[in-house]
Amino acid sequence: MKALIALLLLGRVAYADGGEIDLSDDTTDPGAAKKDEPAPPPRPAKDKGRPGFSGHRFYFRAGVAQVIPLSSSRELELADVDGAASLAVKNGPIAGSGADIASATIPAVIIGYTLPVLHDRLSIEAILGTPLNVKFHATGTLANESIAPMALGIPTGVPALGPELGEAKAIPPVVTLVYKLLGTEHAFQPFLGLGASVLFQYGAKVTNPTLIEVSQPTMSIAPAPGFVVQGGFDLRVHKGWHLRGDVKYIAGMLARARVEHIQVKTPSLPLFDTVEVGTAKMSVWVNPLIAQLGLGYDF
Amino acid sequence: MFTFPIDHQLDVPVGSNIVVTFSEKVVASAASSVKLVGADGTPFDATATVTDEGTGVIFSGPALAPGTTYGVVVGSAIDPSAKNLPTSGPLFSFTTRSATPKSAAPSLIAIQGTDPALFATAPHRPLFETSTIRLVFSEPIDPRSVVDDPASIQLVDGATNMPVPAVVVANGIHVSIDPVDDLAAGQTYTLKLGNRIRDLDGHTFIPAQIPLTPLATRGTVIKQILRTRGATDPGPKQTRSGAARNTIAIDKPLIGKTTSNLNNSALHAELGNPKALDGPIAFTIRKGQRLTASGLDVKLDGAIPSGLATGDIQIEILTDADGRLYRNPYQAAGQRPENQNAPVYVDLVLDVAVYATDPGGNAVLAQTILGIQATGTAVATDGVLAIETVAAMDFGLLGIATAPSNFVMELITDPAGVPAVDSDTAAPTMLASYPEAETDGQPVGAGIEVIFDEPIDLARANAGGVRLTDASNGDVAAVIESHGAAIVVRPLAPLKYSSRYHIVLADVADQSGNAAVGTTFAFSTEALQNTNIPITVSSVYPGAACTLTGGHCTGGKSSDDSYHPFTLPANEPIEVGFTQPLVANTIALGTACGKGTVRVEEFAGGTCKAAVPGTLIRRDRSLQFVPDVPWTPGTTYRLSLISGNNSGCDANEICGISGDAASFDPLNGMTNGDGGGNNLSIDFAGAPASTSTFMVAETTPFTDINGSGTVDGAEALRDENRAALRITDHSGIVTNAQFNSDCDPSTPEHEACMYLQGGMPVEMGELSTSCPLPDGSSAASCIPVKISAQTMYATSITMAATIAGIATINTDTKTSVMRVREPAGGPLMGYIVDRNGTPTMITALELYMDAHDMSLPLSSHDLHSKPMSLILVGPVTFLADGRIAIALTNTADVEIDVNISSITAGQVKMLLAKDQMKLQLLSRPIRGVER
Repeated sequence: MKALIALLLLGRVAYADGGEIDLSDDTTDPGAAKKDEPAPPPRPAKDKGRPGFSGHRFYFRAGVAQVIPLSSSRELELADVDGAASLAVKNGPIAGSGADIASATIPAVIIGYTLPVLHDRLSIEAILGTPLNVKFHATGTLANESIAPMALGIPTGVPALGPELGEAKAIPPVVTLVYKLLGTEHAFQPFLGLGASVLFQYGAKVTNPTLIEVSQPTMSIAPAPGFVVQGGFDLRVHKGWHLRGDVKYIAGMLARARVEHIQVKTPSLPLFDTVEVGTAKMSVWVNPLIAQLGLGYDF
Repeated sequence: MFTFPIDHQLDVPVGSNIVVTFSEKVVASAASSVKLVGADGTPFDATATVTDEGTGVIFSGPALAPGTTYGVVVGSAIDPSAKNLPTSGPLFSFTTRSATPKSAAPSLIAIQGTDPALFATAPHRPLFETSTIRLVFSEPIDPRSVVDDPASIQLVDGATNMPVPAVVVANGIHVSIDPVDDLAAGQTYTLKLGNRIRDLDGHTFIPAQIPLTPLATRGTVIKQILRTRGATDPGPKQTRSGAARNTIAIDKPLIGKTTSNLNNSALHAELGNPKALDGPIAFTIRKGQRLTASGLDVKLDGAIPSGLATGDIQIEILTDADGRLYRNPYQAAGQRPENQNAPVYVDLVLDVAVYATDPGGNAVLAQTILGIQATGTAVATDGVLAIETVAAMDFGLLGIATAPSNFVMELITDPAGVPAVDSDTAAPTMLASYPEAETDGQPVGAGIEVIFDEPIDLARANAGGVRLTDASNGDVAAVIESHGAAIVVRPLAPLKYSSRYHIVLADVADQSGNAAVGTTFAFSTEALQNTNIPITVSSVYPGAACTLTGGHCTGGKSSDDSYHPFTLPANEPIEVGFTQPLVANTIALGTACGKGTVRVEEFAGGTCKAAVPGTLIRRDRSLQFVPDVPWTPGTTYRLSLISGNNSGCDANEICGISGDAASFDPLNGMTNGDGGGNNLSIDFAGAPASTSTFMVAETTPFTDINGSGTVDGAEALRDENRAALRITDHSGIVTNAQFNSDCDPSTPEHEACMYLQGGMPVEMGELSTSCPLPDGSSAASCIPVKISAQTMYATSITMAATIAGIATINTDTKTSVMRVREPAGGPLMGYIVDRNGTPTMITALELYMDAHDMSLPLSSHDLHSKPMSLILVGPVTFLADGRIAIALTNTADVEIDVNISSITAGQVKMLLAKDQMKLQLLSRPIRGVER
C-alpha cells in the first residue's frame, strides 16, 4: 500500500514538473485547472482528443501472476459410504479435516479495452493465464489421522493421508471493470477494479498415495465462480508501453471437489483387504490473491 | 453367492432346507435347472422353488436319507449372468446326519466338522484357542460312557501330559468338550478317546488319540455386541437365505407348521486378531448368553389345542460358541473389494440349551442341542455388520418326536455399542423332577430328571454340585446330562430295586454364578418282590403280545379274531414290552439266521435270508430294535423271541427275574412252571416311512412290578391303572358272590380292583376333518391315533362265592389277560379332539378277557376270550416333568357275566361301572428314558 501511495505521489510530481514524461493529461484534475479561466467547451468524443490519451483503446499486459489462494475449507465430507467402509466411517463431515490449495506462479496476459465513457477511465479487462496447476492439500485430521482408523473396533491399518491430496489444472479467467483513478494524461495510472471470475478445472486427479494404492478414484471439480476486487497501476514507460502492477482478490470462490470410487487398503483387516469408501466431497474457499506484474502495450 | 449347507458340510440334519442364493433375481421358470443329486450324480426326487424374494432357489425339507452325501447341481439357466457356476458337476455337496443307532462299533465321523482323516491337513473348521472341540460320532453314544476320563474322553496338555479341565457334554451323536480356560495357541494337545465310549447296545469305540494344535487367533480382545436385527434397524434389504429372518420354523405333523420369532436379544462376541489368520477372523461367543424367542402355543398338528404354552423360549449358549468370518468361496480370488454380490461368509457352531419360561412348557421343551452349524453371510452396510446365518437343527417335540427346524438368525453389530444384555441375578430354581420327591416306583434303569428354570453350570454340577446318593448317603456313580434347563442324573449302573435314593443339589448355580440354596430330595425305586411267575410280553410292535396260532393268540378260542397282517413303517423301530424285568444276560441279538435269543431276520419264501443288522437297546423291562437301514417296504421280516421248550432258564433263552424262561403263550397259563413254550414269532412286512408320530404309551404307574399277576406285599397300589369290578348279581349254583375288599371306598358298593399293566404303541397321525367318533359324536377336526392292538395284564382279584349255599370258596382270578382286538375293517383307532379347549382322546376298545388260571372247584368258567366293549375317553395332558399323559376312563357301564358250569349252571354278574376303568397311558420320560 505504501508503494501505491508513493506511486501516486510520483505521478503528481511528474505532472507538476511538466517533464518529458507526460504522466497526465487529465484536465479535470483540480490541481491543474486555472481558476480564472473559463472552462473549455466540451470536446467531441474522439479517441485522441483527450490529452495523454493515446487513442488506443485495446491494450494488453503480459507478465507473471502469482496466485496465492487464501484458502480455507469446510470439513471433508463423505457420502455414499456403504459396505465395509460404513463400519469405519459415516456419511458426513470428518471432524477436524480440511484441505487447502497451494500457491502457483503462472504467465498471465491482461487484455483490456478502454471504454469510451467516463473520460476513458473505464476499461474492461480480461486476464488470461496459462492453466494453473492447483494442488489440493489435506489439512488437520485429514492429513494427520486415519480417516478410518477402526472398523467394528478393529484397527483397519488405513494410514493418515498426509498432506497430498490431489491436483488439477485450473483456468481462472477473470473479467473486471477497471476504473482509472487519474486522468488519461497521467503516465502513472492507478486503478481499481471489480469483476468476476470462474475457476474452471480439468484434469483433476487424486495423487494421494493411500487413495490411489488400489485404484485411481474419479475426481471432479465443479466450476467455481467468484467476484473480484482489483487494484493496481499502469505506468507508461514509453509511448504505448506500460508497466502493469496489479493485485486482485477473488472472493467467494468455493471450489467443490468430488472424489468418487475411493478404495483404500485395509492392511490390518486382510479379510477385506480393500474397501470402497464411497465419495469424498471437499469444499475449499479458494479466494485467491493474484499479484501480477507485466509489461504491455496499448494499441 | 450363498448356499446352505456350505460345501462339504457334514452332519446336516435331514430336514434341512437346501438353499442356493444368487446376487441377482433368478429366472423363475428355470428353477428346475437346480437339481439335488446323490453322490453318484443320480437325481434325487425333490423340487426346487424360487424364494419369495426371487434371488434364491430352495428345496424345502426334502426327504433326504440319513448319512448320505448329496450334491446340488446348478444349471446356468437359473441365472445366465452368473459367472461362477461350474460347467459340470455339483456346485456344492454335503452329507446328512445319521443319528440312529448302528450295529457296528461307534466311530468318529467328524471333529470340528471335518472328517478326522482330513483334520490335520484340511480342517473344515480350524481349531482356535477359544474353540470348543466338537465331535460327531457315527451313532448315538451311551451318555453313561462319556465322562472326562482318559478311558472315555479327555483332552490332555501335550506339554504337561495333564488333563485340561473341560466340560464334556454329550447328546446323541454329539459330544462337545469345552475347556474351562482357553487353550494355548501353538500348544499341542491330545484328545484321547477311549474304549469306555460305547454305543447304545454296548459296542465300544476303538481308542484313538487326536493331536490338536490351536491356531493363534487372539490379540487384544475386540468386543462386539451382536443383537437381533429389528424391523427398523439398518442392514441389507434382502435375505440371503430366502427365509424370514430371526425365525425358527418348525414343521412336524405333531404340532403342524409353526414358527418362533427371536425377540430383541443381544450377544457379546469377541473378535480375534484380524491379521492372525491372514484373512479369516475368528470370533467367540461365550457361554451363558441367551437369545429369547417368542413362545409356542402348541397345538397338535396346528389345530387341536394341547393346553401347553411355553411362554418365551430361551436359547442359552451352552458352551463357548466359535466361528469365523472368511471370504466368500464363490468370490473370484482376485476380486477386491468384497461386495454385495459375494458377501463375507460366516461360520458359527454352537451348542445351546433350549428352555421355556412357562414351567409346563419348559418341562416339555427343555433340551440341549449340540453341534448347530449356523452358516451364512455377513454384509457390511449402513454402519453395521449384518450377519445372517442359516441353521438346521433337530428340535425335540413333546418328548416323543424330533422336528426338523430351520433357523434363520440375523444379528447386527450394535451401532450404538450399548450393552443390551440383561444381567442375570437370579439363581436357578428347581421346578420339577422325575421322579417327584418322596415318590416310589422309579424304574431302576431310568435317569433322574431335575428340571430348573434355567440351565445350570455343568462344571459345578459335575464337581460335586449335584450328586446321587443311596439310603446311607453314599455316592452312587452317575453322569450328569444336560437337557436345556434340565439335567439328568444317570446312574452308571441300574439302581437297586426297592431302594431309597437322594438327589443332593449341593451346589447348583447358573452360568452367571448365581447359586441356589442347597437342597435334597429323595425317591424310591420300584418295589420288586420275588415271584415264580414267568415273564411274558405285554406289547410287541409290530405284532401281538403272544405266540400266534391261526392268526390269533395261542390258547385263545379258535373263533378269536385274527390279527391283520403286521407291517412296520420304514422309519419305526421294533418295540417289545415285558411284564417283569428281564435278565439282561439272557438277551442276545442274533447276528445270523437262527442265532440269538432276540432275532430280527429277513425272510423270503419262508426262509431266513439274513439277520437284519441293527441295534438292540436293552432296557429293564423292554427291548427296542433299530435297524441299520430303514425297513424295505414289501420285504418280509420276522421277529423271534426265544423261550425254550421248558420252564427252566436255559442257555439261549429269554428269562425274567422269576428264574424261568419266558412264556409267550399266556393264554395257556401264567402260573409257576408255565415258562417256556413256543417262541414268539412275528412276521411283518416293511412299509413306507410314516409321517405319523410314533410313541409307546405305557400304563404308568402300574402296580404289578414283578409281573406275578397278583398284588404282592411290597407293591404299591396304583389307582391310575385299574379296573374296579362290582358284583351286581348271581344266579344258579352261585348262591352268593362278593368281593371281600373294597378298593374304592368312595362308592357305596364293594369293588375289587384289577391293576393293569401294558403298553400301547401308537401312531399320532395328521389332522383330519369331519371325524366320526367312537362314542357316536363327531368332531370337526381330530388327530387320528392308530393304536397297536396289544395286551393288558390285570392282577388277580378274589371273589368269595358260595356254591349251592353250601360252601363259600375264595376264588382268585389269577392273571387276567385283556387282549385288544382289531376292528375287522382296519387298525384300532383313537381320536384326539378338542373338547372345550382340552385335547381329549376317545377310543373304543374291543377286548377279549381271559382268566385262564382262574380255577373253580369242580367247575369251569367262561372267562376265556370273553368279549368286552369299552368306550374310553380322557384328557391328554402334560405332567410336570413333561410326559404326555392320556388318562382314559370308560364312559358307560360294562357288564361282565361269568358263567359257571358245574353240576348245574350258575352265573356271577359283574359290572365295570362308568369311570371305574382307569387307564393312564404315559409317554416315556423325555430326558431320563432308559438308555
